[in-house]
Amino acid sequence: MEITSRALVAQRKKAYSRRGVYLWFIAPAVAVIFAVIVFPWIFTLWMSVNDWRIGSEIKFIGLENFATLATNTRFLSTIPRTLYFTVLAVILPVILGVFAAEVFHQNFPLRGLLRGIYVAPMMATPVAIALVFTMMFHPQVGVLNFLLSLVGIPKQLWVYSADTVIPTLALVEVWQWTPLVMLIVLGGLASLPTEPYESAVIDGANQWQMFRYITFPLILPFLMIAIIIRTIDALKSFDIIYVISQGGPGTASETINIYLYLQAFSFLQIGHASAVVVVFFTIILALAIILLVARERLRWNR
Amino acid sequence: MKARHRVSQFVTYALLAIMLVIALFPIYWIFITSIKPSAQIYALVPSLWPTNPTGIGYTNLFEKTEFVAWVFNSAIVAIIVSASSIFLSSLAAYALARFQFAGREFIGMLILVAYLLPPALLFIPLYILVTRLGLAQSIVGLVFVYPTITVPYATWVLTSYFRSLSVDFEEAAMIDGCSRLGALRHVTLPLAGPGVVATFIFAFTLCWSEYLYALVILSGQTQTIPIGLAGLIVADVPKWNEIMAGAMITSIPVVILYTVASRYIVSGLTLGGVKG
Repeated sequence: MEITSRALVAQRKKAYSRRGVYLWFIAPAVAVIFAVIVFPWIFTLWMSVNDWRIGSEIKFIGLENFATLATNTRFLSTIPRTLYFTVLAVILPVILGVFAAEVFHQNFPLRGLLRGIYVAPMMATPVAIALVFTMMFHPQVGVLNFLLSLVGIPKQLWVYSADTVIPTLALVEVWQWTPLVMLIVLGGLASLPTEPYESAVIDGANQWQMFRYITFPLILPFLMIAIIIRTIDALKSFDIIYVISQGGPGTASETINIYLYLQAFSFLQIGHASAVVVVFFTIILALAIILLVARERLRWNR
Repeated sequence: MKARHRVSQFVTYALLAIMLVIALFPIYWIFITSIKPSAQIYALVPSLWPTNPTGIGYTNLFEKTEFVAWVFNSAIVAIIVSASSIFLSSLAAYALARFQFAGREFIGMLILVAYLLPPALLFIPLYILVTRLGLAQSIVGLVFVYPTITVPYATWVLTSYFRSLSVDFEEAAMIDGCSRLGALRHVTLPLAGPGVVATFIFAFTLCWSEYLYALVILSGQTQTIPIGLAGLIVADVPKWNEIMAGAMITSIPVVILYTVASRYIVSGLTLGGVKG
């Protein structure tokens, strides 16, 4: 009797510890997740309903920060600007990345080595990239205008003009991240079956038709992944914009990220900046839902 | 047919050449600027190759700036954070991949969200927290803050890796008397080796080149490489050869890591997304 009950207890203990064991695995990371998501979010929501400037009293003001934002033209103009930058920094790398992947999908000597060289930009530190482009964009002594002058194109103002600053900054992103899209699409191309192409050749299809009707639909899931990754990264973009233009000239390249940083740390408007965070989060959520729905649609159509 | 083949080969080579030139030019420009004397950098007609190379940019960088301290700070932070993140994340990723428990889906989703959110959304509360803890203006603050980037990322990627591995080997090890932790350490981690290496390298690179949090949390004397280098630009006539020398040296550890582990990188980059 004694023995069996002891055995039972031991068995139960063992079963219990087996059931509870995942807790020990997951606890540390969950703690970090709480530190990253739950705490900052509750704190941000709380800050956004307070008048909080560093160095003065914190005062509850309800939704006043949001009301101010709704009429703040400097803030409102950051939204279309951020979307403009994001669209350029997503679409162009995806298009160029597909071309690059098609090139690297061909057979030629030293393909692996050349591919390794081609993806060098994505390994570079963004700040180092931002610094070298700052130098290259200089209208008088920058090398880009010099190179353009060799082929007869007039000097550009690059980041020194309000009209061209956003496309120019997006260009840096395009340069750095096209190789990533290339790698993703190349993975897609490598997984393609050869039979459809063989029958297409027999049916007399040309290169474009083969791309449009065979390759493109088959690599679409990979393109969606590239688009999602690029959208996330473009929305995160801070280093390149801040180092190259600090949001200037004037406020011409002030994206939401830059505006947030300046409000919080140059103007010390913590409450105001927190309200911006809440709005930005809502925008990101909307974009995420659009992308996820698009991805699901693609799945159903196949 | 043969002529057409030759034409298409020529087109491939031409495109390849253009792509490589575009990809490499800014990197080449970092290098060439770092070995130019100051006077040549501001020439109206920039020279595209070094006419009289000099190491003055490098010696000035080491003697006149705090570059050595920046490298030290960046290296300490990047190593501590990426190593501890891999440790925490592989535990969590293992649980997410192998155990059935209430809230698993929810935690997995939270981790993905945490990875996807721009750091700009978090820097205000994190800054206030770090300041209250008295860790602002020191690299300890960064060690505290960077896991908020690296842990969600590493957990997400490692979860997909662990899921893609067969459970058979683990079960065999456990039947032979291995504990769960033992199975993870002796079976799963070695099998997931390439994924773990790639994840470590990405985590290291993220910390090594991180700018926004360092800008917010550090100030004055204590700086990391990105903050230090960007800070050199404030002068009216920036000493570009020094700055580019710094950019060159900064890229060395990253290039070494990527070269050593290049065959793991492609799968490491795409797996999390493809399987997710």
